[in-house]
Amino acid sequence: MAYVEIRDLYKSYGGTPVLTGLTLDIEEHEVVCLIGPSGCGKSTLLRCLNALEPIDGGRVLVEGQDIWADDGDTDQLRMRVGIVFQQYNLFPHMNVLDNITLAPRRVLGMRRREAEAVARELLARVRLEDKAAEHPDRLSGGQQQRIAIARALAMQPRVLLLDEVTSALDPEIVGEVLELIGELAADGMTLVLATHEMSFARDVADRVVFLSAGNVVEQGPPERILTAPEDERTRQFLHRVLAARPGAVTGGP
Amino acid sequence: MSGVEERSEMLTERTDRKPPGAGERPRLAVRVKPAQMAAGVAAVLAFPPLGLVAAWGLFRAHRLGRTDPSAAIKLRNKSARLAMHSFGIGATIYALLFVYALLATNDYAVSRAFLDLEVLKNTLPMVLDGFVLNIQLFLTAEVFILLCGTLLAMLRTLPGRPAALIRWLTAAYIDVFRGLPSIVVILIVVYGLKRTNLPLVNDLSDFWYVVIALTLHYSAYTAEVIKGGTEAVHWSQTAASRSLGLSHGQTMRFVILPQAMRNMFAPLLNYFIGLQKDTSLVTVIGLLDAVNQANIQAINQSSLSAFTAAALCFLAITIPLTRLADYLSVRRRRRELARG
Repeated sequence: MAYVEIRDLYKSYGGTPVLTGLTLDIEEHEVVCLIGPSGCGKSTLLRCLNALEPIDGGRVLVEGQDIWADDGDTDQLRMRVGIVFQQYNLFPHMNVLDNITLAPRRVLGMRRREAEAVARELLARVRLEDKAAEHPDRLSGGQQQRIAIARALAMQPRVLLLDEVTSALDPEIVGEVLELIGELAADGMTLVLATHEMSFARDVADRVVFLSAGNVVEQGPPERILTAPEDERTRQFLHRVLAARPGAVTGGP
Repeated sequence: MSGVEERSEMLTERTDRKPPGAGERPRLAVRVKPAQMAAGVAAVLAFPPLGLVAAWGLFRAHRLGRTDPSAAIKLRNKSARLAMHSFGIGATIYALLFVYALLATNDYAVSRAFLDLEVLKNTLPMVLDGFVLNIQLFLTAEVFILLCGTLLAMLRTLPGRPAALIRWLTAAYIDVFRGLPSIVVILIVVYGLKRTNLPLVNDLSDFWYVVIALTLHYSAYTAEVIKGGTEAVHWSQTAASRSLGLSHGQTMRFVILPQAMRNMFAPLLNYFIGLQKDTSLVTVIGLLDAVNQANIQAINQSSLSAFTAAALCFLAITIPLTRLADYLSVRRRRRELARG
């Protein structure tokens, strides 16, 4: 049994179908990269896995339990699945330390000192231990995104969803965030990334999943999907990405 | 022939008509803008000594426009600024003259009626006595209004289908009380509740009835402001908070309301000012507030200057509050600009 099981998932916004009967498994300690054209449903899928969006059909199982079932505790299950957003979504009225400790204190009932000790460890892990007292708007985009990752990790999720976390960043600071994600992957964290960074997907992913029109078109090891795709749609997508950014797939300039 | 070629030919044609030495690029004739012309006319009417100078400058700039565009623009902008200055000076003079005329007509009838310093001095202490009641009403009601308004706003924004009925009920309450004149609510509550013999509310003093009425009325407005303030916080903040496992209530309390507070100060303050003025409505049920005292004094001393005393009391509170509300919204806008 996979850690997260997505079965026949349907989701539409005001009549426009976004996910069309999508089925996907995510194993523990696996790094899965979702790729696909804009509007293919990558972000929506991640938000559904975290129960941020109500679904229209199908099931999402975490540890074998349906996150929307009446006898399941949605809040409990969504805590196992952390999410990091493209725009970081840090709380602008709190300093970095409070951003990280809010949920552990209010949801897990940790004492302030205990939560702050955990937060400082996480800040050291993302190499921002000197920014604990700063407010988010004083930090660079890359720093904010690393804080957002630390905030999600503070709830000790079993799976971390990363929703195009480098898309809003300036090119020269994308590296510092990708490096951190690479470390998480090396530590055995289960990661699901929606990403446009093909070379990064190739380096860290155990499996690449190509989505189109709200469904899985093909999936497999990165070498196969990124260099020898079987489906015409995948080929066209990769062709377009490659045309826009030569070297994006191979990793070389 | 393609569109680009057509355009470039038109441009060359136009340059051909330019005087020699006008340069390679086609230059447009400098025009005096309509708003600048309007300012010139207003300046002449309001303050001719400077206004005529400004208008003459605009006219010359218009003439100069064909031959020396850069000098024309300089002259035009300078004259337009002068026109605006003259208009301001003239308008101020007219306003002062108007006030003087108002006070002085009919052998200073208006100033004797409203600005009798002797009467003002005699009545001010009693009016101030009454004004204490206005302040007490204002402060007491405000506490209940903020509490009830917040509660209403929270009920109004409860998520999910099961809460639909609650949202509908609060929406109905807010619509009704926002739609009623506050004096009607005061009359209904004061005269109505007293006769109902309901437990708890039948032996309250008039002061508390008025507090109830003002709370009923103003909490509806306050709820709308608070609801608007929370909705102005971007939904991604809710997403971030809920994804961390915080409940809807915790998200409101720790994430949304603290951020919404900044958006709410200025509009809330505006309603406070309205409330402060509305406390004078207790005059109609016979409570001795500043206005009622002024009314009595006006009759006793047969001078309307007593009302001036009441007016001064209110202005002393409301003008600083208005300035504060303005300052807060300007500061908020500046901060948003600085951040964006």
